[in-house]
Amino acid sequence: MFLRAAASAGVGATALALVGCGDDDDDQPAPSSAAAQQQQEQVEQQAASQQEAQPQQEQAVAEAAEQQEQQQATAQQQAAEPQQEAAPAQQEEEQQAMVAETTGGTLRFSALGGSGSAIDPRDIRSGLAYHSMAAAFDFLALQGPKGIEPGVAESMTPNEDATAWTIKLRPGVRFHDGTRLTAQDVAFSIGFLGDWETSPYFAGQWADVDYANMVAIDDLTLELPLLRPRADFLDASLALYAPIVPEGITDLALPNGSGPFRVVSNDGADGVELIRNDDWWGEPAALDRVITIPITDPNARINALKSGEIDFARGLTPTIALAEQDNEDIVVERSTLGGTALCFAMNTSIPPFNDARLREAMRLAIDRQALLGGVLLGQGELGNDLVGLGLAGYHDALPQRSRDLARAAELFSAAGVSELDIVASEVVPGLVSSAELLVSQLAEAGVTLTIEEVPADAFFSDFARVLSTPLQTMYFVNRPAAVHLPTFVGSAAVFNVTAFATPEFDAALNESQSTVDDAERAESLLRAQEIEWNDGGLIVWGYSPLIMAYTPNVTNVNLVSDGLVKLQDVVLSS
Amino acid sequence: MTAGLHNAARYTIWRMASLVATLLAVSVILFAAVEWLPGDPAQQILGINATPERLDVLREQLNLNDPVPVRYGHWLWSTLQGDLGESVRTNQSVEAIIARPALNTAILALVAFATIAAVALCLAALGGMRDGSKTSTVVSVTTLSAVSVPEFIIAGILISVVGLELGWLPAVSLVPSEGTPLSRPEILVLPVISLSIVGGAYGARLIRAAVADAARLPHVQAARLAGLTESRVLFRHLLPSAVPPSVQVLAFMVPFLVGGAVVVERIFAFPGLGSQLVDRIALRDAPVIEVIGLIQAATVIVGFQIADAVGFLASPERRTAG
Repeated sequence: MFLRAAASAGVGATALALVGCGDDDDDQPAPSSAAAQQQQEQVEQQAASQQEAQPQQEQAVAEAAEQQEQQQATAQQQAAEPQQEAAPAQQEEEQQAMVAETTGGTLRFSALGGSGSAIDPRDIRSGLAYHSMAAAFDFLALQGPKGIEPGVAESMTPNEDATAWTIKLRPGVRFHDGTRLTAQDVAFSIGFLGDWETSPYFAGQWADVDYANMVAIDDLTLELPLLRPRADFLDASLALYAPIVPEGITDLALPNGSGPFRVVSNDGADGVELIRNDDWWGEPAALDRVITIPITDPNARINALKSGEIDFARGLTPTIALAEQDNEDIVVERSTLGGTALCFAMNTSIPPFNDARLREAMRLAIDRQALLGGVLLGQGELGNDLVGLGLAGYHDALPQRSRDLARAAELFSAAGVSELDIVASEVVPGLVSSAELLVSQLAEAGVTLTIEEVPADAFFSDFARVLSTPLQTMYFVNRPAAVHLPTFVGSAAVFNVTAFATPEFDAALNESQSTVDDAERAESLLRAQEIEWNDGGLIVWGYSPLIMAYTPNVTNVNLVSDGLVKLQDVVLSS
Repeated sequence: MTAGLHNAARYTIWRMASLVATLLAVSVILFAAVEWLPGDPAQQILGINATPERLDVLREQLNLNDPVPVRYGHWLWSTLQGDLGESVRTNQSVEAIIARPALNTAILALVAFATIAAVALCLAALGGMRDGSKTSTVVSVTTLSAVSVPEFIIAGILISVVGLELGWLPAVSLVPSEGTPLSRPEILVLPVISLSIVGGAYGARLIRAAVADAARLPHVQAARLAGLTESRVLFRHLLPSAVPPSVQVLAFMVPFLVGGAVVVERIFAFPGLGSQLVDRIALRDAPVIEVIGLIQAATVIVGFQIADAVGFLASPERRTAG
């Protein structure tokens, strides 16, 4: 969530939002994602065996590798399609001309950014910095919309009780300076990201690693022991955010990565110039060059696109999307990948919301549909008080909550509440409007709501206040439940704005992390969500999509689940 | 002559001392202002991992546990030794962070200042030469209308019409990654116009009054009665009398530019000092805020000092008074 804080409010806590990832597809709810289905099928086939987890995980990555190769082949085929139609009948020059039209070129890509010069995987504070970094470095794996997309890891496998993971690397991967990427580099990278002093954003993700016993078995194999069983470690860490840097890296302005592009210049403000890495292990990028350009204001970003100063603007507002939807000179795309859950957060540990009746009254008094229309101009999806909509592990079997004003009024009356206060802050567009609409909605239930507005750039600056506010507007980047819940709910979560933590929830969550059996682990995760849905303090009323716009000659725009645009896939036709 | 030099030297020393004292006061105010902002860099850096224990450790590393006067003293001592410090967020040197934005803003401000001066002087001469004429009325109404519109609205209209509808000029002012605004001078046009419409009109209204006053001076009226051409009256007799007040008015444009540039830079995505300041305030990046704030304050103070100096030089009584 903090990434967006920086986006809109300049708060620097951006990185964790970026790493929120999961499996999502607009047309395909998460539970039916390909990798999840494959894993479930394997569980059924090997039900009698104790060896399920290991091959499942390995297979998931391996099959994902095959899928990726197929996707790359398909993308290549799509890019070359015009040539294939012409080639049989026309001359070879025409074919080459068509290739030139669909490959190469310089993409000018803009997003929020502007406050850092280093491309430091430990210190990603803006969407633009994330894209610059992800183009320059490889990841072990990433969570794609249809499952895990392998990076430099060929397989990542737990032992029987998930207390250790074995990472096998793809052979032949080289950094931009020609040196080989080895297991030592992966070990260094995990320590690099897991150091609390130099990597405070990401260290928590690696807190269960037993660094003292981490060992490179050979150049391509790393043994990664953990301090406790973590069967979810692939989803929650290894494929969540694991960029690989060369051992001993020092230059982070023009870093030596192994990614699909190589950094050749750095403007000192999150903007870089990258050229294609022709020796990349994957299919080389179609683009010759990418220039990432920091533009803070979304309005300036769309103006830059419309006036031809850039080709791609990531992170726009619903208002801009609505205004530009009929503009034929640009393509506006809304994606649930990288979207945002918009919420009201009730603190369950302090009055008045330590009264379960009041929390229930709030849930029933809110008109989510009206909020969606009024705040997001109808461009979003309805929330059901859980984060992770459309992503792997989301509990979509729970009934959609709807308004019941009479029952809400009864519960408010029973709790003896007729006046409430809410802290509202525009850390993402629409949160203050949502509080204003809530005033009228609660008034219909006989409750007077008073808004205290906090400046967006000050909201996350005082964490103690955020953690002790009874009712406030809040947002979370839409991440898989397996990632969101341990970070934001339960007694182990540091940033638990609802302070919801019951023994039942903690137990379910712990099982969802440590149980090796995939089906049982998934069941525990659903149970944890149900407990939170019933008793927790979060009202997720809607989801705002990630909105992007680009020129019509930009094609093959693919995202991973946290909203990262895969620049290596983008095709720019002339 | 000797008395004049003595007075000029005393004046210069006094002005320099007051400049230093003012900058010191500004630095104290800036330091206190950043302190009063809610939250601190340690909380921002740690984000959701901000447990009390980790906050304590990081605050110790960043010296945030020291009393404010101690931290201010350290900062001041380092600054006086030429060490502007490092960003608490990115560990970059402050010099490296502000070098390019400062250059970008300096170029924008200089071009805007020259345009404002030209616009203000031309309109003032047109409107002030013959007070009460139709031309004077038109200038008065036009400039009043212009100063009534905030620069961000003017900027928005220019972006929509000139940048997007007509496509004549870039709607945003992106500086090439390895160049300066002068590498693409067209990116300066709309920001400069946005600043110059308001600044030029405001300056014109003030200078016009000085020109009108000068037009009523006996030697100017005598020149007119002697049958000299209007241009000769203007350049030989009228404008020289209006120069000192005009320079002082133009000096007042410096603080306008410092403030206006922050707004205009944001709207046009111009990577200048104003944009950088806004970003760093949000990050609670005190060392960078301090330096940018001081640069802006020094610019304003120097502008006023120049205005005063011009007034001093233009006043024979003050120059030679014992």
